[in-house]
Amino acid sequence: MGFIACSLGGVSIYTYGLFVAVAVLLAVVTAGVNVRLHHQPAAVLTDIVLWGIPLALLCGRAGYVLHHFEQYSSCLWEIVAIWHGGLSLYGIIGGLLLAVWGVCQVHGLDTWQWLDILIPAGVLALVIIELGIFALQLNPGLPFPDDLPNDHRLVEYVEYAFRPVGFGDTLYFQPIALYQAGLQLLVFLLLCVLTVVQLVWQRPRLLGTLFLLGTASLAFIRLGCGFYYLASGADIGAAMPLGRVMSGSAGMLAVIVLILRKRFHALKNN
Amino acid sequence: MSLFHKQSMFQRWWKRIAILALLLCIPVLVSSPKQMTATMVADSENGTKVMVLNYHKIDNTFISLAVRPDDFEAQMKYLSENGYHTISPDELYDSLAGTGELPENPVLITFDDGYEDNYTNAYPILKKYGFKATIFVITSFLGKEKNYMTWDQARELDANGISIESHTVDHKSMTDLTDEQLRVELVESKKKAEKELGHPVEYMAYPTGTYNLHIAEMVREAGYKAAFTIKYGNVDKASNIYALERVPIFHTEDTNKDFLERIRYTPIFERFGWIKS
Repeated sequence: MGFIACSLGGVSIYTYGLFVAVAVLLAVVTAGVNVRLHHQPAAVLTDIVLWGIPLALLCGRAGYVLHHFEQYSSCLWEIVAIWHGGLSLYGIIGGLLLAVWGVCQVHGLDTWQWLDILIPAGVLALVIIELGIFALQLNPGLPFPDDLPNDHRLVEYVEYAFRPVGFGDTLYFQPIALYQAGLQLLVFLLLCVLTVVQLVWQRPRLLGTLFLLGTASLAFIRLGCGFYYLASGADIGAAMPLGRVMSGSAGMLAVIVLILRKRFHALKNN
Repeated sequence: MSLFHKQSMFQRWWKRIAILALLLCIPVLVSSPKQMTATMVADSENGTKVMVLNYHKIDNTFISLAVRPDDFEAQMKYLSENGYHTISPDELYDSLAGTGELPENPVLITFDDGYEDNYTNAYPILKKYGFKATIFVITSFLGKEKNYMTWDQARELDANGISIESHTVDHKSMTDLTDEQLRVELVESKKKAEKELGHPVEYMAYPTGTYNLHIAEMVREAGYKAAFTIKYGNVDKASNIYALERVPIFHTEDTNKDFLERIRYTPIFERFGWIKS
């Protein structure tokens, strides 16, 4: 699968961008259904999407540039050339959270409730984006030995020109992005079940529980899969690559916030 | 009543149009989560993927390497009726080097080892469909070992659109050889074939398909322009010119069904490693 899907009037249409657009579209549709099930105004979702897309792109780019500033310090205009690639997933998530928080604050809505409504859609979007990363072979896993038996086990064959430096002789790699997408899909299904439980039985009552559970699950999946990434940062001497530090911290933070909120909630009710 | 319920129809539609515009901008702006490299951009210009079929024997012996002549004919008929155009190794090389154009649906038909049945059984079928092909011969076996073609037969094929190329001197697995032995296998087979055929021999196929980047470098040093493995897959500009992929065709319980599956789904099989050579 090529990085440029096609060209319209000299403008390149990127395959990864198509995956992201489909992910956003599916997420909006899923979120729309959930908003309706929760009897909330659809106009709030419209505002969140309207602010969320530009903020996600802006923060995603800012995150990537800050992390790889040495690539941009000599040519600052490259910072705005977002089409040359480079978006931080953590930045994108940060931008989206900012949009949700901002819209809720402006209109006096409960941010935690809206995060609960939006989290299944967000996870579904991540699944689609991760599948795109797998299809484009942007994140191959650890290498397999060359004498791999022909036992139909799923592996990722990377063409010679795209093999990471030092792996010219390696044909097969762990399809870690596909496994990650599969695990994220399980989280999405779990959140769908929890949403139904919350709607029918009003359990869990504490708003934000779904969001925090989903966030912690995704973060720990990323942390675990990170140990199977080939390009993890360990190759440039990092003892603990930034992606794993970020995901581990995000997972821990989500768990701590969930516990604290539950304690607060219990104290308040007593 | 909340502000949202008071939004006018105009505002609602304006926002929906703005969201649609933002969605349409994403595929133009978002190219990759990492900074794009020249190789990544070049991938979109890799051009046509070329299928290189890999046969061995064409006869009625019941071994997996021997495709029955009836099945081989059915396969060639399929290629002919479905708009495939056979090419020579030179055409493939020129295309990869950016100095030549390929016909639509290009396919390179190759045979390994140089069995006599390539001359007696495959050649008449190839001739019937006007197809080109390439035979990688084990140079010390021709005219000496039973069931292998003679150099006279090789010359006749060579003069009639069937390229004769090197499959080394003795068909030893190259990863088991010393550098000196490798040099002998590569250089002597090239010299012998060139002497017998009277023109340069510039392509080779790795015996048993085994190779590594060091061997590939020695192949280049020996004067070959390209080399073929038995790694399952199609060839494009992202391929290593000294480790070109092929699609092996074997005798199976349903040879022709497997043939069709392989030529239709090779890029998918290749990408996800469902079939490993």
